Amino acid sequence: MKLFYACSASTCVVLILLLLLYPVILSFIRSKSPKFEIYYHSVIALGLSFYISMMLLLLSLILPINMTVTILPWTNTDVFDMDISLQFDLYSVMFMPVALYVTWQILEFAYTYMHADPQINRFFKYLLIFMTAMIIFVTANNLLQLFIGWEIMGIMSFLLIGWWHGRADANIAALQAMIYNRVGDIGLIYAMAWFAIIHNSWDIQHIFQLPQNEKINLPLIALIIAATGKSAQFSLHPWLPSAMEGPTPVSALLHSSTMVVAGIFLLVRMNPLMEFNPTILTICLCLGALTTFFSALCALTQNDIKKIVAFSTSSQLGLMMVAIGLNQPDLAFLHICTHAFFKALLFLCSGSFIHSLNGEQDIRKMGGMLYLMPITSSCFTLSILSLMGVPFMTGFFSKDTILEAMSASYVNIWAITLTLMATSFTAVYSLRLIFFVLMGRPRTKPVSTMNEHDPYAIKPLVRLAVASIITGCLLVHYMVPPKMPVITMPPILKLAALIVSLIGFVIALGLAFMANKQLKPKPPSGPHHFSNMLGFFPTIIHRFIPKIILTMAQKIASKMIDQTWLKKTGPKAASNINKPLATTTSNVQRGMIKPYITLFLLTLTIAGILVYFTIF
Amino acid sequence: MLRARFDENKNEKDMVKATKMLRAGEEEFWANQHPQPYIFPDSPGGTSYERYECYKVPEWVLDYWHPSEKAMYPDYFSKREQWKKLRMQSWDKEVAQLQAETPADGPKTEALPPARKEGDLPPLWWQFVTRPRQHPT
Repeated sequence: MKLFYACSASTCVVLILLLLLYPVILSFIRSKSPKFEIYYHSVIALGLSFYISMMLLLLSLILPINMTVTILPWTNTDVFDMDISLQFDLYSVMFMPVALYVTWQILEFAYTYMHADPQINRFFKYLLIFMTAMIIFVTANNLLQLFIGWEIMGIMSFLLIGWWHGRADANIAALQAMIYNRVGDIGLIYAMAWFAIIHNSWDIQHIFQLPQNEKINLPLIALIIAATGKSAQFSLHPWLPSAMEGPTPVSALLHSSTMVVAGIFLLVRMNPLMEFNPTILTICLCLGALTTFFSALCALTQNDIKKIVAFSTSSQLGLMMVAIGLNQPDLAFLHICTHAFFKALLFLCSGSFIHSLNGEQDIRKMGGMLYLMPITSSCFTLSILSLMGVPFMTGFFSKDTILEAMSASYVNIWAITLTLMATSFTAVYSLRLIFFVLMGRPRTKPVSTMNEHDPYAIKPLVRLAVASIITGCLLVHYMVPPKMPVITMPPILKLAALIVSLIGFVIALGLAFMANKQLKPKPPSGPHHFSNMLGFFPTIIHRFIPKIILTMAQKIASKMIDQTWLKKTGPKAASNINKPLATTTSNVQRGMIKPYITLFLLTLTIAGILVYFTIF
Repeated sequence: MLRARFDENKNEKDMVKATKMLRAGEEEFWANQHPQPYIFPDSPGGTSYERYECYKVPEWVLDYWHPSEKAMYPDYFSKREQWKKLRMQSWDKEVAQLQAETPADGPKTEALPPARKEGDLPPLWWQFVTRPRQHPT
């Protein structure tokens, strides 16, 4: 049975990788492909990959076996062994169909969104290469394979954010993503080096067999840094809102559903190392709470629809980190899966609005979309309800469970307060989105091309909307959590998340209906300014650190080099050394008798002493 | 309003006082400006500004097309050499008109003058008509 499972599972993954890479290889073989050829191949490849991954998932549900399969030996030396091996556990087997389904819908949507782009074939190739990297990352059983998938995802993120490379802002955003991810990669590389030196293995199963009393704080902190970079936690988060410069399908796939959860996925994978380490868990909890609150605060005052959704993503990633900090990695993983659906749907609906309004992204210039695009508006509303954690939507099953676990556990009140406030802010900016985008009268330019006749634009939205309703229930029903979740708690704790969301919703509704008069404009208040400027974090970090480095570089280049070579070691140094010597020597020889006699007697005395010691 | 207060004091003769008032006005303007002013998507600073610059290719690239690619558009390329000759012929006249009409201390606006004589082309006409599309097809 195990052999059958191993063969089937490894065959499935290899087939998926081959299917995903087939259109890419085809494009290299053929010198010039027709415009949408890669799209047709990609959609078929993704559809087939999804069904194969579903077969693997069903097989894993019937035969619940956790297994690693070694495909090929890669490097085998006396001290270090490394194989190409795949891991089939709950996380990899469940995440693959989720990621493939979301990618499939996004690719279909991209056919409409990127229809006018001359390089659409290249766009789909990049997305397929990214998906391949994601599969490699998720199924990796050793750190090197994981690192390869991690890095390829980073590179594709860079290429896709800078898709419209004629824009300076897009290039800046791509560089920002690359550099922030690089800072995080230092953590991953450090952890890999530590495991290689201390433990002599990169195999995840071997790493989990480290003794309990082993001091592994340093590599775990390094892994947290890696997750901070990739998953846009506080301090390495500014790249995520900037990454909205890329096309909306890229934002929907990479920067909400798949790539940004890679850091959280890494920590979920490495959770056996962290589960008995209270220091590391506390760091994760506090970092996650801070991230979720800060991102939700920043989302309150943004006016770009994609930036609001980006901050919402960052806030949910913080919530996933909180779940890891509560020692509930399965809840974090559940939230990864459910979040992928409703966040991708949210982005695709936003993209549909933007495309219909000829590139308008400011919510102050949208409005009345409920009447103009009813199907898209309905899907948008469903995704927002799921995001808010409305009971029995997809987001409810994961988000509410995390908040219940948090309320019922013995964590510090600061983390709970921040997380509940962030939940309330989620309701506020969600209502703000609905109010500005869907309700009221249109504030847009009168465009007559707005319609919902294109099936390639509507069907992906409807499919993702259905997934945003039913997937939570299905996942919770079939996923057996390895750790016992919190079951009994006082009703107030059970309902805390719901009450807080409701309070936020009602307050936001009240504020929105108060803002129907045009009053005299006032300067922005302190909190509004703080939130609008994203906490001044990018302003300070992006100017302060480069300013220090550039000032130091200027001092080195303009002063220190000249000073070193000219004054300290060069011609001036020669004169500085020789001048006192010359001055002293010439001062001695001034033609006066006394110094000459003194010198004569001194020389005589020294000569006498030398002769005395030589003879005797 | 700030503009009304500016107009009231615009005839201030005391330069020290005027400088101080101007500075105070600029500080008030800076403090009261909108934190996120609306920018049209295609305007500088907008979300679609220069988005398609990477697809905008100058027309001289057409000279470097392979003959098999040029054969796909025979009508255009058969007339292209004639158009190049017309451009060369009118170039000196366009430059002369621009030099004559440009003020000594430099042009005041980016607007180009129209053709003044019958039979002449407007200045930089060829660059204008062969400019790339705004949005790619």
